[in-house]
Amino acid sequence: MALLSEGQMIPSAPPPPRLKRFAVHAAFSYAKEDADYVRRVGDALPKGIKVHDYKTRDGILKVVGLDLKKTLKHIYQYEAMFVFAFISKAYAESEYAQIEWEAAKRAAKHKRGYLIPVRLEETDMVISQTWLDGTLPAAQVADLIEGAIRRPPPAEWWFYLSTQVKVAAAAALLTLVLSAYPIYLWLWPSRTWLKSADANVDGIIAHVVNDGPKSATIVGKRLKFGSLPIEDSELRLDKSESPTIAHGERDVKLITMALATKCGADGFLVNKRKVEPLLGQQPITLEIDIRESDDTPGKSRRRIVTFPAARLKPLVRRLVLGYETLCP
Amino acid sequence: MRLFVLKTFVCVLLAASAVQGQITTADVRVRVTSPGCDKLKDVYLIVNGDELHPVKLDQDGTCRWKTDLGDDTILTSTASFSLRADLKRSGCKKAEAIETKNQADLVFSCCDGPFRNVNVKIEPPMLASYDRYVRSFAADRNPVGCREFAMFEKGQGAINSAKFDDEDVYLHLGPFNPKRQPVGLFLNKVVVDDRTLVLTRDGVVYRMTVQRAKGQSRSAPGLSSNAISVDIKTLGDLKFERAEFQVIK
Repeated sequence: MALLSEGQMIPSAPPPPRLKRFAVHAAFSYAKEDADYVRRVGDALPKGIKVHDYKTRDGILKVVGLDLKKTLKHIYQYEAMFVFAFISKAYAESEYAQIEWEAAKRAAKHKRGYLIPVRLEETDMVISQTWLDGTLPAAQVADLIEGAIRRPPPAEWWFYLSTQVKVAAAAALLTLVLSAYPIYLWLWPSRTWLKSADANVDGIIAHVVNDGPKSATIVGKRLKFGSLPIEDSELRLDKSESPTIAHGERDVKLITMALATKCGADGFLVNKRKVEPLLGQQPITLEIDIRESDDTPGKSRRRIVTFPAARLKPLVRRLVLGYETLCP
Repeated sequence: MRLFVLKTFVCVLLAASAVQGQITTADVRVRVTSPGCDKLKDVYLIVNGDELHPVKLDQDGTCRWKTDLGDDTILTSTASFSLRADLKRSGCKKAEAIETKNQADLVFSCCDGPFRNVNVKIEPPMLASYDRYVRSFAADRNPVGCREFAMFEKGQGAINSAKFDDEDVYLHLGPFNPKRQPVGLFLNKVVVDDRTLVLTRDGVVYRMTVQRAKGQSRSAPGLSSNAISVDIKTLGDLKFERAEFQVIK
């Protein structure tokens, strides 16, 4: 940008738009020792740009009678579109200036380009932002400040929404979701699957998940033993269980009163003492027939899950016969 | 119309009650319904035809007994049972599964004779076994046919409570074989009441030949010279000399 010489007239332009959320375009943060320079910068700004300056009438009215520290924090964190901090040794040592600086820094974490230092002289303050040169003539600095105010907002769009607008949008979204839910329930069917299966001494535990909003129904269940010498077995629901699977997930306990075995090479039915050593990592298949909410009557879908045969040991010990029995 | 609905309802109920699931259990309950059941002593259960290991029953009231088979659980759909009481026996039957109590329930009508004990002695002493193919006893509720068996380790033992009218008894030289139906000596036609019958090797071969000819070897009738040769060779290999059968009525 070409530097303007002091005293040169700045061409008049319409005032920059100010979002309703913010009370002022810019808040000046400075030490009282630098007030003269800051006043000249303020005076050089176009009339349409609204500035918070604690020495002006409006600035004084903003804080009078209030807790100064809290009010300063609020002004420099929330009320301005930009904060221009005039950095000098006096600024670094001023308690109130530092309150303003810290407040502006907090806001700048979420709003890129919010805090713009104007360095009047070198200090020990750590400044991570690119600063304006405060040794330039006041009119030139004012021109740069105006330019910064007019440039497109660097922060995310939502940052510029007022809290009221955000609350209203959230309420509208919630209303939409709540009104859409009954439609979702009406339109979408149940969708059920088996997540896992396990076994204990009492029976088989199937972990069933229904992702749909409607209920599904268990209509068939069986255990298949693959290469093991145990006959495939129909299972039944435990007395405490319902065949209805509502939306969500739950454990379903399946039981059987006996496990029949196959005929062994010796002419006797394989008994538990012969079966138990065979139970290793080979897969046992649990099949559950489920009627989804959109299935026609009499139709169902088979869901399958496998688990290692070793988990069946307690059940086999209880349900496979122990007595030597001739094959039928 | 109302009567028809009622009949249908009753039929459905009966059908539902007839459907029984199978259970695996060690808890067996026995009830005997025939007259004089309260006088039965030393009641044993033969489980799955294994006469070598009769299960002693514990009295559980009048005409009622029970036993806990421990780890030797049975499957009600496959297990068969028969009763031994004093010198009598029942027919074979399957237990009814009482799912709510996890019990196998047996009701016997025991025991109409006549019954015989057959003492067997083989010379020289050798391992022998017998099969009893027991037909359904008409007096029993839900009777089934079954196969019962035992072994004589040293060629000597008794086949107790034989009811030859309702069972076929075969003697085998060698161990019991659950898979095959070996050609054994058909004892029904051999034993004679109140006396001892002695069969030599030739006598056994002759009886086996007659058995085959009449189709009493659980195979079709036939007079195969090859089979006779096998019998002679087998008995010779076993060094079989003679067998004694004594029937006690």
